[in-house]
Formats: sequence, structure tokens, C-alpha cells
Amino acid sequence: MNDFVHQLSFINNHSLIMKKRHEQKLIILSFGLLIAFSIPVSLLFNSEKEVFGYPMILVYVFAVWMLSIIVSFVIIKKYDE
Amino acid sequence: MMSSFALFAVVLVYLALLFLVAHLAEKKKSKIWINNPYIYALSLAVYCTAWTYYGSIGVAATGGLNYLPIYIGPIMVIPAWIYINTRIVRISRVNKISSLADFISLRYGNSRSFSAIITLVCLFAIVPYIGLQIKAISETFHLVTETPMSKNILTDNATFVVLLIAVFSSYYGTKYVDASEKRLGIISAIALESFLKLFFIIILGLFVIYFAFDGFSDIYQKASKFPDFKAKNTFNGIEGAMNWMVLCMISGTAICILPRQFHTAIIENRQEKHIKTAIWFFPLYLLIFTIFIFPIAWGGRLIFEGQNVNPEFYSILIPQHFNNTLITVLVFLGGLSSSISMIIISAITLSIMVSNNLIIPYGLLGKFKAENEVRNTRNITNIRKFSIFGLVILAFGFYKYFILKTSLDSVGLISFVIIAQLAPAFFGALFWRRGSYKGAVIGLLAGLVICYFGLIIPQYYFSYNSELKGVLRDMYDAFQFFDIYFLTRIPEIFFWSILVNTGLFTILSVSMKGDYRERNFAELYVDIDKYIQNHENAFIWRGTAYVSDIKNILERFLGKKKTEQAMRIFNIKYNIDSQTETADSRFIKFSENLLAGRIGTASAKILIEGVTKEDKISLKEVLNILEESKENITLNKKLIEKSEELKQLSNDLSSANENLIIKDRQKDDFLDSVAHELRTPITAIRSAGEILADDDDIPLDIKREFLNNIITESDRLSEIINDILYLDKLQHGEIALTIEQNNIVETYKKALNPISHLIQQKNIHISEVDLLNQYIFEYDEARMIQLFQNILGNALKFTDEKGTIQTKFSEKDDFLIIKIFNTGKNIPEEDLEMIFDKFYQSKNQNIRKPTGSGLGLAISKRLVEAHSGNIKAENSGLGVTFTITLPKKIYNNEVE
Repeated sequence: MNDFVHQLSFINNHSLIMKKRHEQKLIILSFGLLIAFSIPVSLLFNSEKEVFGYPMILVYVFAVWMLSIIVSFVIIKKYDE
Repeated sequence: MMSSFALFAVVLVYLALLFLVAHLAEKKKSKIWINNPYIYALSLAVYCTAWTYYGSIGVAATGGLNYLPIYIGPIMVIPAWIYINTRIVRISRVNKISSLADFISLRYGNSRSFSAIITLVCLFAIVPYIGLQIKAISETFHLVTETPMSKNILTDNATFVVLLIAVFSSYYGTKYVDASEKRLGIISAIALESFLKLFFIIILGLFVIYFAFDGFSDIYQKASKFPDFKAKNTFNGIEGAMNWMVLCMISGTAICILPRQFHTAIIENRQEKHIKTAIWFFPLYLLIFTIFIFPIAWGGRLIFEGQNVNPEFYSILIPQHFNNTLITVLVFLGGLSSSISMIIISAITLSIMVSNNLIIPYGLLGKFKAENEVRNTRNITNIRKFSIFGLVILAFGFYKYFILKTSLDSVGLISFVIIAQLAPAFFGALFWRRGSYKGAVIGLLAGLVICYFGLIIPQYYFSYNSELKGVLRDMYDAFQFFDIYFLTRIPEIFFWSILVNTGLFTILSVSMKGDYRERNFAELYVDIDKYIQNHENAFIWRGTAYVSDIKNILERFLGKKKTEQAMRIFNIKYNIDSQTETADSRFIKFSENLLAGRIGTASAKILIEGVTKEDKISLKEVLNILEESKENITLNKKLIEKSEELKQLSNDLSSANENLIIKDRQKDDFLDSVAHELRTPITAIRSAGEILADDDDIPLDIKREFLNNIITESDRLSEIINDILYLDKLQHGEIALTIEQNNIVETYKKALNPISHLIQQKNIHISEVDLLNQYIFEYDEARMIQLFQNILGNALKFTDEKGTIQTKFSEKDDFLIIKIFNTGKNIPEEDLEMIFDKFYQSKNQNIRKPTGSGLGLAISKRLVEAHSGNIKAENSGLGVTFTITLPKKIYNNEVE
């Protein structure tokens, strides 16, 4: 029974899970990450210098990574419908 | 040091735990702990295989930053899942898609051949990868037990572990004949494994950092003395960064297209909103995983520098080096978890593809058409079960005979690149209407050829040959020209294959006329949000078909009962008469959907095609119909909105009407009451007047009494008329309040003064209780005196002689509360609300003879409301309490 009932009953489940505008914030975040890890930008941090005692590039990669988690968490929790 | 037997027992217990979790989850499907989004998000971590657990550490120790792209690629793509995956989930749901092959091939005209090609691509890419997992299990098993690798399959413990995994997958993976069903048992077990493997690597990480070394900075300090440390932790110039970026792109596509990722993220998605949790949770999971790779890899190098050990197995060798059996075994179990979750999900999703896209459409459809439901169901699940076993055995063979020599990292990346060949067709399906079947297939094949010569031959050819020979050598020499010197082999081949693949796909697609069926699905895919509610309407089909023929086919797969149930639901949904004999396009799509989960979309189409006769439609017609139906959908939406507005309006109107009717009736009642109230004194006056007029001989004292009666009744008459007029003015807001700061107790005293003699007359005890912190409040003093007098007057009337009246002032929050209690007869419960109505008393004349106008309480209520407060009466103990609640500050000082 299950297998075709849900095919018909998803109607009440179709609404957007997020407003388009907030959805686009996440997509922009995606592009932002693409740019942050792309060659011209990531090479800026490619130095033998150390930040907080660690290689700069590692600090950069993990900081961007952490930031992206926080940003997406905030967007998702704030605009939860 | 652990004996083989003990470790094998541990593995058995661990597998039993997985069985138990799967079993419980299957049984308690509806429970919240099973239905939470974290299970979904954790199941996505099937991405982290033995490659992550062992391979990445090897890369970090020897290849530097190149271990990162495998995780950076996904995190770049994951935020966009909110758009990409939501849409794929919707498309898959409405079309009952059960695998990657179905998803891509349905878009390109539901083509049987394309779905078969995709299945083969997945097999080529994934089977070696499964082999790799088996290799990891086997090698780590021998590493932990410190036994030599066994050449004999029958004595190799890995063989038995793998067989158990196959049993597990084939049992829980084929529970439902409909492959688009959710497999909660498996997914919960995978989620548990994902949790455990993370947990175990955290334990190992902490062990390395704080036990083997003196904190993170200790490892860092010591490791930075390696001559190659700096080079390993920076990009090797622009070339290194270039390779790094291409690797990110490879893994970014892999996270969307890898069959096991597609299966966990799309097919097993139970609620769209779970995707939202995964968007932040999964990158976090990967981050925690990755953070520990660095200290483990460099810690391992520090410990084993100069010894001949495989850096890929540092995570097992380090705890072993310190003779910590517990952590060694935990790490082994973590690695085992990552391997078997990958094997399970890959085997299941590949088996669905093999059965639904390869074996059934190419061999068994004819046979199925003649069988009944029970046998078909059994056959379908059996095919999947055997496929799972077949795949695992194939992978096992691969591990035994091909990849023993190569590293985890390279096999994994090669399989990523092969899978990435599906990317143009895959993303094209989501975003591009004009992408065509021929373009997609030719592009894919060309990309595969490049991968074959660029990656597979070099990888496996050298397993048996030391150098290129003959034709092969000439060919490689000819293509020397295309060598990109600054890219390593895998990024280089990725670049060329994707370039050629995408190029052919796009150019061929735009240079050929599209097919109507393909375009039909293209519209449905790209505009899924528009069609999601009635996607069956978006399927365009013209021809002759009979319900009975289609029903006959459905019954062979669903059984009689389910078929009838399904048809009933369909008829209700589209409001179709159940006696209808001819089937329309909606019914055809509906039937295809019912079959799709069981035998795949392509086979479903072929079966339905067999009993119907389709007329050709031109592409132009299809586009017109779609345009129309799109317009219809928007029009429909607008109509629904409009009709909802109208409904709202008519509701408002009817409630307004009802109010008017009530008002009207109230007015009538009011007039009746007024007439009645006026008649009583007038009758008295008139009869007194008549007697006085008729009889001149009345004694003087009686005459005086009559005259006095006339005066009091006239007074009462004017009182009533005044009250009516006053109430009317109050109701129409013609009386403005003069709100000022006043002392409430003084006001009360002022109200009490004129009636104190009445109180004394009846010998009533009157008292006040004062619980106020302040005495100054904002109100209209004259009205407040009137209010007190009305209530007190009312209380006086109903209090028996020697009774009590008590007034209590108190404050609560921003309100002043005045309670006036009097002993006396209770008010009937049902009348408590009505006593504030006009002339309430007059309707209950049997209770008490009327005195006063009968409007006192009605006026009181209006007065309190004018001060934005409220008044209520309640029976309390021996009497009645009137509670007046007034706000301390009045903003709205106008009477409504």
C-alpha cells in the first residue's frame, strides 16, 4: 500500500523548504567557497609563514571551512520555515 | 597482539550489533529517534571510506596537502544542495526513481540503452573501489593480528567477513521489491557506523596527540624539523595549486554523483527538510575527521621514520607500537565500519542498477509478462540478492588479482574520475532543457575512452608488464602532444575527459533536433517545482490504450489487491469514473510509476508500451501542450487564490450579516424592554391620575399619597429615560472621558457618601480592604463615582439586612483590581454573564420586584470598558463578588 500512497500524498509536502531568497544565500556561499579555494585566492595564503604557530595555508583552509559551517548553520536555523 | 580468532570474534559481535540496529530500526519505523535528520546526515558519511581512514593519512604523510581536496571539494558543493538535492529528491520522488541510472536515463527519453551504459560505467568505477575496501579489511586484519597475508581464499578471514557483509546487504537491502522504498534498517546501521568511525578516529587522534606525544604543538615542533615538512604543507607553487584545485573539482562532482552518495542522499531521503540539517552537519563531520589526519600522519612519520612501513596504516601501527591493543582494535573497527558501510550501500545501489537497468530490461521482461505477482516479486528480489553476491565476489576477485600492488588513494581517485564522466549528463538533466540523448551518450563514451587509456591501462597494465609495448606504445607516443606538464596524471585525464565529454554533449545537443519524449522529461526535470503537484499531467502521451490491458500488467507485479487500491486512489485524485475503459496519459504515467520502483523506469515504459499504441507527436506539439499546461497550472493557482479570497469575503459578509441580525434582534428586545419598563410607571401614574380625576371626594391624605406616587413614578420614568439616553451616548462614544490622575480610595469614599444613610438604614456592615502600593491612578472620576454607586447600589438591593459589603483594592501587574463582595442570594450560574445586559432584571421579575431602571449594570459595564477594563460577576461563598479590572494607564481614553 505504502508505495503508491505516498506518491499521491506528497501534495501536502511540496511547499518550498526555504524561501527562494534564503536558498540563494546558500548558493552564494557555495560560490564563495569555490572562489576562496580557487587558485588566485588560495595561493595568497601559500606561504611558508606561520599564523598562530601553524602553516598559513592550513590555518586558512580550516578557518574558511569552519566559517562556512557556521554561516550555513545560521542561515538554516534562522530561516527555518 | 591479538589472535586471529579473538579478532574474528570481535568482528562477529560488531556485525551482530549492526544486524540488531537494522532490525530494530525496521521494526520501529515511525519512532522519532529513527526519523530524525541526523540519521540522514550521518548516513551521508558513507563518503568516508577506508580511503579516508587509512589512505588520506598515507597521502598526508607522503604527499602533503593533497589529502585535503577529497573533503574540500564536497564542502564547496554542499551549501548548493539546498537547490540541487532538493530538486533531485523531488524529481526522483514523483518518478519513483530508484538509482542514478534511472535518474539520468529517464531525463534522456527514458532510454533503456542509456541506463544500461550508466550501469556499466558505475560497475567499472565502483567494483574496483569495493575491492579496495576488501583489501583494506584484509590487510588491517592481518596487521592487527600480526599474521601473514594468506594466499588461500578459504583460510583468509577477510573472505568470511566479506561474505557476512554480503548476507547483511542482501537481506536488508532487498526487503522491498520496490527499490525506491526507504531502507530504514540499513540506513540506521550506516548512520551508527558513521558515528562510530568518527568516534574511533577521535580516540586515536587524542591518543596520538596526548599519549604518544606531548600535545599537538609537540608533534608540530618535532615534525617541522623534517626537511620536507615545509614543502608538504604548502602548495608546490602554482602547479601544486592547480592540481589541488582539479582534485577539488573531482571530489566535488563525486559527492553528488557517486552511486552510494546518490543512494543515501536522494533515494533514502525521507523528508526534504533533512537536507537542511545535512548542509551544516556533514561539513562539520568532515572537518572533525580531517583535523585528526594531520597529527596522525606526522606523528606516524616521527615514530616510524626510517622504518619500512606503509604510511597508509599509521593509524593501526601507532597504537600497536605502544602496545595498546584496545585502541588498535577500535581503530580496526573504525576502518572496518568505513569499509563495510561503503560495501553495503554500493552493493545495494549497484544491485538495483544491475537488476532494473541491465538484467530485467534486457532479459527477463518477456518472462515477467507471463508470470504472476508472487513469482515476479520473488524473482526480482532474487536477482538483486544474487547481484549483491556477484558484485562482492567480483570485487573480491579484483582485490586478489589486480589491486594488491596499488595504493588506496589512486584506485579511489580513478573511480572518482570515471564516475565524474556522468557529470555533464547529470547536471545537464537538472539545468538544461536542450541536452539530448545522443549528445549525452557520445560525450560519455568519449570521456570513458580517454579515462580508459589515460588511467585504467596505466594502472593495471603495469601490474603485469614493465613497459609499454607495440601498438600501445605508438598510441601513447602519438598522444604525447596532449600532455599537460603542470598537471599530474589524474587531474590531467580528468581535465581532458571532462572537456571532451562536455564539449560533445553540448555541441551535439544543440546541433540536433530534439526528441519529443526527451523534451517532455526535460521540462519536467527543469521545472519540477511547477509540476510537482500534478506531475502526471505533465506527461504527454497520445494514442490508444485500454485500462484493462494496463491493469493486467500491473497485476502481474503488484498483485490484484494492490492494483485495485492504486487505481481507486488514482480515480479519486483525478476525479475519473471507475468504469472508464480507455486510459489517458495520466494513467499511463501513473502505471509506469507503479512499476518503476520494481523493474526500473525503462522496463516500465517498455512493458506499458507493449499493451498500448502510441501516436507520434511532434516536438512542437509537445512544447505547446506543456506551455498550455504550465499556463493552466499558473491559471489554476490564480483561480484557487481568487476563490479563496472570495470565500474569505463571503465568510466575512455572512458573519457581518449574522452580527446585524443579532443587533437587530437586540434592538427589538431592547425596544420591547424599554416599552415594558416605561409602561409600568406610566400605568401607575395613569391609574393614580384616573382615580384623582374621577373622584373628588377622596380624603386629603390619600390624595396626597396618590400625588406622591405620581411624582415618584415620574421620577423613575425620567430616570429610566435618562439612563437609556446615557447608555445610548456611551455606546455611540458621545461621552468623552476626562482622564486625570486621582486617588481611587478618595473617589470611592465620595461615591459612598450619598448612599451611606441607606446602608445604615439596612444595618449593613461595610468595610474596605486596601492592598494598594499606590493610590493615584488614571481615570475619569465622575464616571468612576457613578460606577461605584451603580455596583454598590446593586449590592445594597440584594444584601439582606445585617449583611456585609466588602470592597477590596489590589494591584496585579499593570492592573488595578477592585472586588466588591456582598452577602446575599447567589446569581444563577447561567445568568452570570447576562446580568450586564440591559434590563436583565426585568426579564426575571419573579426573582425580585424591579427597583431602579435595570440599566445600572449595563451602564457600569460600558463605563469599565470605556476605561479599557473589564468587569465580571461571580458567586463566591455566601454572596456575589463583582470584580473590576482597570489598567493603570489608559491609552485609549475615548469611549468606543
